[in-house]
Amino acid sequence: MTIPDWSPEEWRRIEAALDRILDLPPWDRLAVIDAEFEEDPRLIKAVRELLSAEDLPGSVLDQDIDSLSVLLLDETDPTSPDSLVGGFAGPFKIVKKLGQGGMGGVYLADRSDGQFDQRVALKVVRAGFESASLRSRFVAERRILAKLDHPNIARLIDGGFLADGRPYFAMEFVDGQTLSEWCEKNQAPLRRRLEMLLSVCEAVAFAHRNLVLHLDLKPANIMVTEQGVPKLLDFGIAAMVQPDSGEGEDSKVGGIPLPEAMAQIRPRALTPEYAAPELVRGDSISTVTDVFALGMVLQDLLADQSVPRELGSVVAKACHRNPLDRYPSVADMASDLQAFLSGFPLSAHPGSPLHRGGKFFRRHRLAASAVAALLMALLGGLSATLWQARIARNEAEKAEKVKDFLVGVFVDADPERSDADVVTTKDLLERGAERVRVELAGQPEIQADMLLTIAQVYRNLGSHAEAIPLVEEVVESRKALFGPRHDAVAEALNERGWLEYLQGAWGEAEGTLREVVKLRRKLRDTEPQDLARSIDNLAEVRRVQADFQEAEALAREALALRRRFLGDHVDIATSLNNLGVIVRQTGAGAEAEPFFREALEIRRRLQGPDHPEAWATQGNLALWLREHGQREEARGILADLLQRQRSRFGEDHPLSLGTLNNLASLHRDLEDLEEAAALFRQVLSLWQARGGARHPNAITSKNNLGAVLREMGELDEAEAHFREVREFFRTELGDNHPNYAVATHNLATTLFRAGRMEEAESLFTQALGTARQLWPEGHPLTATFALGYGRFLETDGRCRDAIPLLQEAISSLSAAAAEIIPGSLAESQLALGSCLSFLGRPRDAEPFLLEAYRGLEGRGNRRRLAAEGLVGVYESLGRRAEAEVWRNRSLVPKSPARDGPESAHSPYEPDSG
Amino acid sequence: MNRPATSDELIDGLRRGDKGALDALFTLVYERLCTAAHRQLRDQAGGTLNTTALVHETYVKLARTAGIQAADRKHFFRVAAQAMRQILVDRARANLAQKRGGGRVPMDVDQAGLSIGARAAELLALDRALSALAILDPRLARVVELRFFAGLSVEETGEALEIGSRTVKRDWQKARMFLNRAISGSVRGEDL
Repeated sequence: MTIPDWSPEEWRRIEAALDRILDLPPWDRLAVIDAEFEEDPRLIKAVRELLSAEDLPGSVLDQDIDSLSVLLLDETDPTSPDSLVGGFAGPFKIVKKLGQGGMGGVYLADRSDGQFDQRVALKVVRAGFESASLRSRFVAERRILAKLDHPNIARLIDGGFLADGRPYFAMEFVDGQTLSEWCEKNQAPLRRRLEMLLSVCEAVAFAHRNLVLHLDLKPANIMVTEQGVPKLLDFGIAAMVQPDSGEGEDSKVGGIPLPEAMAQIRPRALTPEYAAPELVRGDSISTVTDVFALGMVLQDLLADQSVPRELGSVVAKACHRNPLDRYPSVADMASDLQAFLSGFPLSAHPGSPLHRGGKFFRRHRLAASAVAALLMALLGGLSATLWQARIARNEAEKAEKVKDFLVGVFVDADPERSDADVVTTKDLLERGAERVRVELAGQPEIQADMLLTIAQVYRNLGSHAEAIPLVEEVVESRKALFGPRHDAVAEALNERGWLEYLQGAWGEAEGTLREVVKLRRKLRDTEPQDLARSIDNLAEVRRVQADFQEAEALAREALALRRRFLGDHVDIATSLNNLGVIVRQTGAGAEAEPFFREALEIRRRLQGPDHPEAWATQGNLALWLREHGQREEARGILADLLQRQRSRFGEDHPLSLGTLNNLASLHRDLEDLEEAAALFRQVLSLWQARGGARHPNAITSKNNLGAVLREMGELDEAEAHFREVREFFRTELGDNHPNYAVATHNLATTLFRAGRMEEAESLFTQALGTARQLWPEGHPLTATFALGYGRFLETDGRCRDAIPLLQEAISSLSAAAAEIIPGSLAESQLALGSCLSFLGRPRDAEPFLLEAYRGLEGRGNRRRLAAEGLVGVYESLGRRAEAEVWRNRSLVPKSPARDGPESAHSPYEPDSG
Repeated sequence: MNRPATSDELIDGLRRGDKGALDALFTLVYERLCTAAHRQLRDQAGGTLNTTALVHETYVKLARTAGIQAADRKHFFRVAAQAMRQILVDRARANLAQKRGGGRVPMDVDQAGLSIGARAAELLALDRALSALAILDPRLARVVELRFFAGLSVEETGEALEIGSRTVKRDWQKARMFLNRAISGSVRGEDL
């Protein structure tokens, strides 16, 4: 905590500088500051610091005030009697309460069975809170402690259950002071302090060797006994690295997909001052995450000392923001401290990158806990694979082999045994695949299962290109083993099809999945739910290819299969969600709502409200609400969703990006165009960085950004974006595709606004022509295109041509349950009214203009046009008084321009199969 | 003052710009909010709390019993936001003191992933930073109180401070930067 020492005068200048740049897009801000305040480095520094602090992950300002209040106000009064005090926990008599956390209490207890005389600290889960996940965390901590028998780690003594069934465990009770208190009280000299820290380093290194990350190292968790021995406490959020072996019931983690497993292992509570940035962000964590915290502790111990420069550089290196630039291991940091104490030169010199790998390496670089998550996913995924493939023979033997095998891979990855301290997922998976090929050459069935599992892990990591060759290998090998007409082959092909879809190769995905569905319909050994999964995957592919009719039929079939064969199961929610997504796009939008609501209800009930799939459904519901005019509710839901997703998966995760995109669209609906543009730019650049410029989602963002820029009057930039988008769709999807038509229409309206009428008109007619071919009469997008062209004609003075188009738009849009683009109906009425009035038919114009005025509430400029139109109508009808009323209504002040229709495709997050 | 002032008197005092009246109103609101919060926690299943609703309810009750006029709304919300801040800060301080007095024990972690000790410390850090900000720029600090501690919307905050929504948003943005910068303590400008 450092409160800036700016004077009020300085702050005024800093604030003025902020006001100057905060409206600029993020990437321009620094350049402007650097250029305009060149001669004032202190101000530049201050502004840079402030800008980088705008989004502080885990900031208390992002906490929900309600839960914060509950936490602080609801704490049980420490003076109130505690029912446990005086009672027993196994052999321990509970003496008093030491402290209370949200999860439970810590008690001082004595062992009183006559055999020992022992004081312990007893941890007990709070009554009423013993959920399965809490219990498994509790058990996990106990298991971790059980492994860590080290003189500098508070030891696990015993564990068991209270009479009421709550689990507890007893730890060595350290009756002493925290490390910082101890240093202060004993006026410990520098050497002594460093020696203490070296002992702590040993304890942490020991934990690392035992595949445990502490993740919450801080002075309060390091106690010093009366004998002056430091002891490491509280492995409550530690992450365990080894694949789960025993504990049958608690090892559920194995069955969930990788991102979820990582989130489970990710520490739940942090002390921000000591937590490494990657930990706060929820990125991959590794042994160097603890190195960071040890560096912070070192800094604390040095706080009241005059610090030699060398030690300063040890802190700097340990606490480097980039994990790759830190000490690669605790041992390396310790050896620099040791060297300092012995007077040798240190290895720490700031800014020397250890090694920099490719992008994949950095993104998926992980060790320890992530590797554990990976292994669990492998194990979990594998058993599912075995089950699905129905190769019942020698199942137990097989499972055993697989486990040994995976542990073997992992032991290879142990820092003590390999040259690199840091293991990457890619290393692990490559090594795994290699070993599978060599060691399982004699057991091709298991070999294929393993390779498919590794491919699925690659898929979960988003490394589709790495996954595909493995899947090919499995397809070939299973064909050779079982013949082509076997569900094991279909399973591998299903995986291939989904990967092709994920890569954006929709045509290929369609071909593959059709083959799978056809095969699985005929095979006797296919389980109905596996058939349903393949059908659902094909439905999703058909949806993105815009064949909504087939997509809907397929999705309904998948839903029916699942309802019939699965009972109460999350896959039903998957089906409902997918069906909602499809139905929404067929033009029968209102029917989608019950699907989303039921899906959300199932997910929340079976998976919990914070499960990524519950999020997806929640996001879809928000979009539905947005389309149906309930925008504030939608915004609340989306903002909440975004915060959860970012804090869990980071800002460039596809989930976060999808939500950010939708939030941006919503801001546009709410007419906060600048915010919308800024958000869309963020989405675009994050997608481009992640998936390349031609990633379909980058293209969607570009389209959306173009639409906002057009509304803001930034027509040149808008045009450039729309042209790129249109070209992309033409090459990828051909020129008879809805997306191409939409892009064409968007370009047309941009050129229209720029006054380039001839170019605009040919594009308008092209888009409308395509729409009429693609959709049945009355489709809302056709109506939108008709409206666009109609308004164009009206502006061009060709009112007679415009009228039929506008009438068509009005009749389609009135019939639709909801508008794709808010305000379209009113815009159509305004344009038609203006045309009729222009043609000297004021009586016909009047009702349309009145409707338009009503419908355009909240849209100042457009509404003013309706009022002006009515002035004209009443004047030509000689109704002076009414004309006067409408003249007054038309004199409202101008607000920033907002123009008519646009079409934006907000991608729904499809459920993956 | 020998007897506690009634709300009516307080409101009258407020209209005259009486500093003592403001302090007294603060005390009154502080107590009411505290009581209401504990009642909500006690009565509702699972111990949930809705701060925004709490503040609004307290306003409605005071308005009914003390006849606060629409024009006093903004006073009330400003005071209520300060009171909410004070309530939480007091609790956080008590919490940490109790930890110290009760001996050092490993802190625990609750279901939502919040360690009370850590949150309490964070809140106190925020409080200190906010006081520092109030010296440099009182309005920014007010915006944080209203938005964060009282859970008011942008529009309501603007109403209470008599500024537009756009200004509220911008103030909030700047205040966030200042506070995060102060809380995080680490200078991270080189990243950009």
